[in-house]
Amino acid sequence: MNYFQNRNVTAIVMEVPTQSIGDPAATVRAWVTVSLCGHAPEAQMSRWGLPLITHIFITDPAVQDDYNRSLPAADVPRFSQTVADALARVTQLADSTDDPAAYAQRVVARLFPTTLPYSWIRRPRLVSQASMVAL
Amino acid sequence: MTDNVENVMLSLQANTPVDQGAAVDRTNILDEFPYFGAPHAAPIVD
Repeated sequence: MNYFQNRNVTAIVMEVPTQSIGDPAATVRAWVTVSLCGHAPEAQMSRWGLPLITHIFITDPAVQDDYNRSLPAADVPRFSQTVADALARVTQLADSTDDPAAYAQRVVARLFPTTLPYSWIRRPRLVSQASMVAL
Repeated sequence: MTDNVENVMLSLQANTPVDQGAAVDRTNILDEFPYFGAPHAAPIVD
């Protein structure tokens, strides 16, 4: 039975007791992959840790494919410059900072590796528009 | 869960507040697991 037939799947929710994570002071970084499996040689086709990375920060289709088939451990050496370049380009066009390159490096340092952080003490959150100004 | 992630990420990218005006349907958010309500039937037409 296909429970998702004729449906849009916009969220998959998994609940794990925080106590099962381990050290309450630790930060868990979550990410998931989608792979072809069963009818073809198994291959990772996509991965997700933070939203919209391949939609707004990595715009070259070849680099998007490379990103989707890679692991977060490779994020900094392989993709941080691509994302930094995109950030600098957009902020320059928006004329929203005096130093686009420095802003880009601050954002990259905050986003990379592109995994979803969770901490029992510090609840997961991305960057709100209010805190963004403080970057 | 009510945050519009597109607004957050686009604002981060542009270093200026971006609001596309789209809002999350709060009626579909539950207080308990699985937090999101029943899946939407496709297609969704605004």
